[in-house]
Amino acid sequence: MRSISYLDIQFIGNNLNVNNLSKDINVPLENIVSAGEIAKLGRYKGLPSPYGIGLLKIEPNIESITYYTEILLKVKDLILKNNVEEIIYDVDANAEDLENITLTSSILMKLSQLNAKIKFNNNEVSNNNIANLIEKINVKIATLPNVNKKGFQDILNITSQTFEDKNLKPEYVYAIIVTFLESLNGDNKQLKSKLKKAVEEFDHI
Amino acid sequence: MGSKKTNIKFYDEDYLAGILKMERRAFHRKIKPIIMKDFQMEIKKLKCDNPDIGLDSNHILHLGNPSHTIIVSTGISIFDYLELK
Repeated sequence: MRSISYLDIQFIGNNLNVNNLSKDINVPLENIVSAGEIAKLGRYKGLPSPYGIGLLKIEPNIESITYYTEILLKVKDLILKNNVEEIIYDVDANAEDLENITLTSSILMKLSQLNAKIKFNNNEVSNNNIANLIEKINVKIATLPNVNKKGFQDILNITSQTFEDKNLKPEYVYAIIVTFLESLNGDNKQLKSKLKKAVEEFDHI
Repeated sequence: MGSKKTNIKFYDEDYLAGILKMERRAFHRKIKPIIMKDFQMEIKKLKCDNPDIGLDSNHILHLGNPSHTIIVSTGISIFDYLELK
């Protein structure tokens, strides 16, 4: 299943009040935290936050990036006056949408004038982290009855040492489980069926 | 703020969001920027803009460069990123 794509423009700065910035530049910003507010989480939890973070949610495409960059360039002085120190375009998208975002020299120049960074995150790739997958396999196996858990743990340990690469593909996970099944004796029909279901779940992570 | 590597595992956003019982998207959008700003001075030591996030057995957050050759401890728990009600 293809994941949904997003793009937030982050405004970050010490002493930044997000609501004041939003009013001054006439753009609807979501207030994650504003300077002086009691922080609800993190390093300053329960204390006045020394910084502010505001988000502007836009469509994850080049037209939208261009449109909002031009708007922000027009109010750059007001942005700086409101203590914004960093502007980050955070593209959190699937591979197909990422491929469709082509940055031309014109838009790169505008982003540079705005002193903005652009970060690309493929929100499909992160799901292949080996530590994450192995953790989930372990949890799943622990719930199955009549499984040689020690044998499975040994296979996982060998696999995690072999694949230091973070991008463990689902087919490798399948191979791990098949290897485990082949190492078992006796009638594993029921177990195979349960593990097959587990593999299908992993394929959908 | 130490810098040791022992017993630290690095996780993706899905896993970290799961610990905080929230969606990955909410973690990426609201929690990660706060972590990045909370520890911006420490992140400079990593010489990368987008550090990996790791946890030790006590759920203390650690930040690492992509190869995990440089790791800094934040000294605070991931559960400090659960919002006060």
